[in-house]
Amino acid sequence: MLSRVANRVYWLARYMERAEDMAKLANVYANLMLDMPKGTDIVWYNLITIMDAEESFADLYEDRSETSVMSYLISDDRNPCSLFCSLAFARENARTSRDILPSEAWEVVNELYLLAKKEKDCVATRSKRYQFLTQIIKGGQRLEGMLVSGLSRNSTYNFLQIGRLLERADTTTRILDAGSLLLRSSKLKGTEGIVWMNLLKAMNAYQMYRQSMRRKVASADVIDFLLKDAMFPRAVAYCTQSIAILGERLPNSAPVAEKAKAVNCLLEGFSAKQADVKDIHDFMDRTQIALYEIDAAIADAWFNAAIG
Amino acid sequence: MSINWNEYEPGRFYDELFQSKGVPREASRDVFRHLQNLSTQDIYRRKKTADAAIVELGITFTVYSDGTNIDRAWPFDIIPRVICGIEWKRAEEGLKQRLKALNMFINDLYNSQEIIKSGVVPADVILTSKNFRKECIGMTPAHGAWANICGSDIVRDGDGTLYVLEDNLRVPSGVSYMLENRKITKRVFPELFKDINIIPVDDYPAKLFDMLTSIAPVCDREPEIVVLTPGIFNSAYFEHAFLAQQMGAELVEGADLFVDTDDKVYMKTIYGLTQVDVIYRRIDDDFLDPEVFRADSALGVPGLMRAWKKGNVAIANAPGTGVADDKVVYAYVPQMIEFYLGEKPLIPNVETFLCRDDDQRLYVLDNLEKLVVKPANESGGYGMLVGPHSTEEQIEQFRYLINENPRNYIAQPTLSLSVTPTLTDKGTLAGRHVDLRPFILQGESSYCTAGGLTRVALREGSLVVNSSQGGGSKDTWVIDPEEA
Repeated sequence: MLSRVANRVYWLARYMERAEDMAKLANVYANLMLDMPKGTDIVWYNLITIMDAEESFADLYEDRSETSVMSYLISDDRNPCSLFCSLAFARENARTSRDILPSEAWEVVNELYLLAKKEKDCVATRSKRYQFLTQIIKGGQRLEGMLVSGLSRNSTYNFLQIGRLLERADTTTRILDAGSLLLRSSKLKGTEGIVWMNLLKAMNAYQMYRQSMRRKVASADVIDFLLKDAMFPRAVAYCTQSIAILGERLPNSAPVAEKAKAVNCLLEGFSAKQADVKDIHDFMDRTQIALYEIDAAIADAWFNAAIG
Repeated sequence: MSINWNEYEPGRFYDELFQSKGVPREASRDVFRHLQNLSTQDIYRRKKTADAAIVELGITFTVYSDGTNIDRAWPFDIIPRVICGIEWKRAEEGLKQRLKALNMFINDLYNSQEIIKSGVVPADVILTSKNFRKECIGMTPAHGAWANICGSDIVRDGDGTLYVLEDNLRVPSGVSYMLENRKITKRVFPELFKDINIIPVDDYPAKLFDMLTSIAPVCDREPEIVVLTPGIFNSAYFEHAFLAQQMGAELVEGADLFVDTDDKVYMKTIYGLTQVDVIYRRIDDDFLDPEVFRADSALGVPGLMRAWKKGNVAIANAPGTGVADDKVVYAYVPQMIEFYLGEKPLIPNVETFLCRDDDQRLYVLDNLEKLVVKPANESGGYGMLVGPHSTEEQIEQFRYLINENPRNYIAQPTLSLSVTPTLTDKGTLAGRHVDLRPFILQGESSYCTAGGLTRVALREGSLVVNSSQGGGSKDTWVIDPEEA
């Protein structure tokens, strides 16, 4: 397999996951608004903080309103991390990999991009935005289903899965960060359960969490579950462990497996029970850096064949 | 609207299917009998089958507009174009003969230049050709074959004779559509394939692969063959991907390849660097190697010419081949065949007037309103004058251009291209003009496709067969009448 092609399918999967995750997060955030007691106000700007996008956002927007945050994260083509840009990049990668993907895969990605292009300016209206984002989420799920059931377990599949898992692990840390940031606000005392329930739903994790932890929803439990669970497919530990396993099916995978295992070790040594909001935020940062190191190892091992 | 084959008027042009109204040519007899028995509804239904197959097989061509690429469904006509097997056999020999002579000519030009010394081709024709690459002097590629893949355009004039209109020796395209057209007609008229002996074309990718293998530098392993594409934005990208897939070769872009200090070519894979032995390149000379040709080329591979000249990699077609893809050189092909092979050409050229010659130029300038004038080095029908369809102003402009740069222009009589029955938008049958592009391969041995890609001008009276300008295509059936 050509390095360029591997690189494209890897990023195709990352961008698609990123778009889908952004859509879920935005929907859940809006939903959370409705559940909050009167007089409390969840802070939309938190979403900018957890994406580490403060500077870039300040360059483009003057206020921190819901409309500004949503348009920055969803529709703004000046923000390379926006949902719209993710779909545009995913589409370019899919376009140039059409010969190795099931043909419906390209069609779904193309459809979603065209939908986003047409509908993206509706983000200001909450109800329209909800519908639009739901379509993006469903499209992402359709694509994943198609690939799981229609693609041979070859290198293409391995790179798609690795890309998706890595992006997913990163998103999970950011959503946990969002939850813990929200609950820092004293006004939200007593809403811990509602906040976490919604965030768990954003990751399709609520039921699985319930089955696994048979007690009331509490911050530390949720954080530990989504970081360390070995069975839930959006838990960071599951993602990195799977990356190590999938990597073994590819040549020269030792450095990637090593970086993936390093994340699992890092997670082992952490417990949310004794941590305050700042500890949690710092730990998420550390985890994100460790995940980034997996990405760098992947590029070294498979995309940048040694030259000279 | 209904379709009645007996009402079809062949008209004043040579008709490929009919001898005269209601009387098919010998090779088309069985095809005609089958088609005649189909009801109008049945024909329409089969047209729908074809449209569905095109979508399902994903056969598209790319149109660049509005800053983005649009994949359009391939315009296709279901009524096949039939060629008699006996006639084709001769044409095939003629095409192979032509490519052999052209390859000997190119090799001669870059080596001892016998043909110039003996005065058959004047030196200035070559020295003024922008496609003569001095970097290639002294080279002889494997089997002396520079042009490994050639797509010649063949037309039939009013008198029924097949002529070669031009030889595309740089990066000829269209062969994937020839193969896909056959796939479609097999779905549309399966019963005809059962009853009629239609010579298959499906072996082209295998023949291409064999040819590419035959030009690989000697090595002790299976040669690594790649198809080099300029990328997704190229209008022929579909074909590049198709051929790579059919041959089981990697489809690479310039950035995937790398020439190391050992002057060998490598591709970057997830396993590390893999040595490449043969490159079927689908990019022009100009972009091949920024170290040697255009320095701003991002499509090519720095050092590729070095590797090629050292014999570490084969490139098809070889760099410098384009020198023979010149309409002035074209005029000399019959002489080349006699000079190198001592044979008479089996397929004639279209009569060609060279404006570089004083007498011929005077004739051209006196008869511009009757002639087709073409620049020597363009392809794809750019910058042409079609005398009978031009305004006085356009004719005067070409008079000026010819006088300014006589070397760069040739003229040919306006041909009355043959027609063949085609399903129109209105759902009727009518004669439409066609040409034919067969593909000829030369490596260790020679091969020519059975027929080729028939392009058809779908608009009434139009002579333009290019798909971007309202042209379409048809499947081409070479049928032996005695076996039919």
